[in-house]
Amino acid sequence: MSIQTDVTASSTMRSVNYTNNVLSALAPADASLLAPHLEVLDLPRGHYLERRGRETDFLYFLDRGVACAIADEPTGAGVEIAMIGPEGFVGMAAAMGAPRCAYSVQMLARGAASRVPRSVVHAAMNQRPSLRAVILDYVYRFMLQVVREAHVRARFKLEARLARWLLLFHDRVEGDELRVTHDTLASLLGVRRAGVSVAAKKLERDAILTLNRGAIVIQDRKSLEAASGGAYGGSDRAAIHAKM
Amino acid sequence: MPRFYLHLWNGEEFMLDEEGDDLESAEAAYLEAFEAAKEMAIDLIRSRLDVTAYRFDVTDQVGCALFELPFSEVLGTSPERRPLSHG
Repeated sequence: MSIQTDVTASSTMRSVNYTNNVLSALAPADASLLAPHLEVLDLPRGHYLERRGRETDFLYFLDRGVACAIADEPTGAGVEIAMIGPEGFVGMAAAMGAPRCAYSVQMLARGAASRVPRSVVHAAMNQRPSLRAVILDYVYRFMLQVVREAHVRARFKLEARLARWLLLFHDRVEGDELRVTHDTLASLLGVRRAGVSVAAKKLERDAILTLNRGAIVIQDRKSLEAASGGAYGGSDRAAIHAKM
Repeated sequence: MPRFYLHLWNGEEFMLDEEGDDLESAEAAYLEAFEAAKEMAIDLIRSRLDVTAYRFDVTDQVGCALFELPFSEVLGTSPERRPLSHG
């Protein structure tokens, strides 16, 4: 994986005012069950929130930043299967009661998250059906994203897949400058770097984006959606609906 | 590690590679170009474009041309390799 680690994560305790969509969707009575256990973490780019095969003790509700779920093999680099931002949480295995995560999750853009022990979330889910419904709603939307990814991987060309990837990332960060290298993109999309550079250059030539060192700047989001040729789908848009 | 640039010729114009790949040797650059061409050829075929018009011109970091890789090579249909038909 070619996402560089900046520094190690640090934590501080903090009170309410959630920017995470799942936490802010909770009824006050439900939120109060989790609130005493929330621990805010600063998450540098490259930091792993989950590692394939390891036990997951926490759910991470992102306030800022973007994480990517990577299907990886012991033998080599993995490919991205989903992106997680402030619309959701990291910790599917923990939420679903599975002991270990089957994939890795790494921060792609620096951010922050409130983390909660899985035991606390489980107890709250058992106690409060309304809280369980909010958690499961995101679990379902996450699953839809993975379904979309499988479809796109089978049916769409690299240029469309790249356009979709940039849109997913753009949905989850502030501003139009996406800090990502062609190397990282190639690794996440599961292709060679040269192909990514060619596809990106075509989009730049069409004035849809501009390429800087280590960053891609979205100039025309509407045209980028058109360039995705339908790869960026309704479920992708709906996943961040609350933010829009 | 030296950096290699894979400039793309599509039969009409060059698409200059401004990123490059850090690779151990020119041989590694050839393998990288070969794999990249293989992946890109699939998309070109899906778009019904003429794959055989494409090639990579690979240079080192000072712009020296190292080799050309016609996409026809990854298809196994480069003219040099096609058996001659007699009669």
